[in-house]
Amino acid sequence: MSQYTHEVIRCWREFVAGASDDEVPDLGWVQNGYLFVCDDDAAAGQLAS
Amino acid sequence: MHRAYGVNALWLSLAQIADRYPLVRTDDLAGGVYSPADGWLDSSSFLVGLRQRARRLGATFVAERAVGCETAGNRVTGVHLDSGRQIAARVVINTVGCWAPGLAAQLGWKLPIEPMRRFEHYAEAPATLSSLPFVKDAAHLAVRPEGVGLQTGVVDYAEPGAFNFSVDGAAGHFDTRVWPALAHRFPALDNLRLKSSVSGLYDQNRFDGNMVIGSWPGHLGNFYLACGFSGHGLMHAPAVGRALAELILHDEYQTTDLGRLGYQRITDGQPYRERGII
Repeated sequence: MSQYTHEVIRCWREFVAGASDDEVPDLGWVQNGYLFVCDDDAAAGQLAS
Repeated sequence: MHRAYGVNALWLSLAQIADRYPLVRTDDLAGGVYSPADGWLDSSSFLVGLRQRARRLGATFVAERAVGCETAGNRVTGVHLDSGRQIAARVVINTVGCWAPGLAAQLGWKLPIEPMRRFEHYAEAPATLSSLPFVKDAAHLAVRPEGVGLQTGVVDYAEPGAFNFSVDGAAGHFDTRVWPALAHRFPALDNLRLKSSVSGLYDQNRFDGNMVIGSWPGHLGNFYLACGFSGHGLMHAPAVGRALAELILHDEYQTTDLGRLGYQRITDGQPYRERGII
């Protein structure tokens, strides 16, 4: 995920509504991480380096 | 490379994966990359919020379909709507996803982008999954916790290009493609109950699976593309918005150079594949 998407998520209320009292949709953000598992030694070597 | 650019990504050995996530079968793996800052969200809420933000900044949304463009010389001067109305425009950005090739073709662009149906399945699971991250493996399996079960899918790149939103065949796809992959990677989940399936479309770039961003040098200087995201649009949308704004306002990328993702790579036959996309 791009750092700019992370910034939008981190500052969601301010990003959407600024200083207004507008209702802001609940993002339902769950930060459990992302795990890409690899079953190929060569590809794993590339990812690990 | 990730870490060199400030991305918090960790290489996990098999022992570390097994220790952190004992549900994951590891005996056929070489390792994994874990990015703890990532996660998932409600994409509909994200869209609503982006629209709110755009309106606050002065944008107006017109609930009509763009069916063509008006040109004069090497400039686009307006957009035709299906109601017959025309909107004058100084700049046009084609961001209509799966429908982008049709609009672009009228202006001479041949985009290798097709609508590709994807299923997402919700299944109840006997094991507690709430601590699992979003997991992907090389079998194109994607899994994450949801409610008392999981949200999962397997990308089928052989799905024919079509505007097909039907969920017909979703249960069969789950039984023959998803469940075997799930049971392989998560043996404790071999007793799942499929509860529901939905379908949606990727704007799949069949050329290299990557987005197409920017203008086409020498052709219609004020017509831009942001399409072909191939399933990772939400992950990149704010960055693309920023980069395109720079390109339009300053005639160059300033913070992130997306030149390699331009349309020129297609006409030059130079694909730009992302090896990490599975």
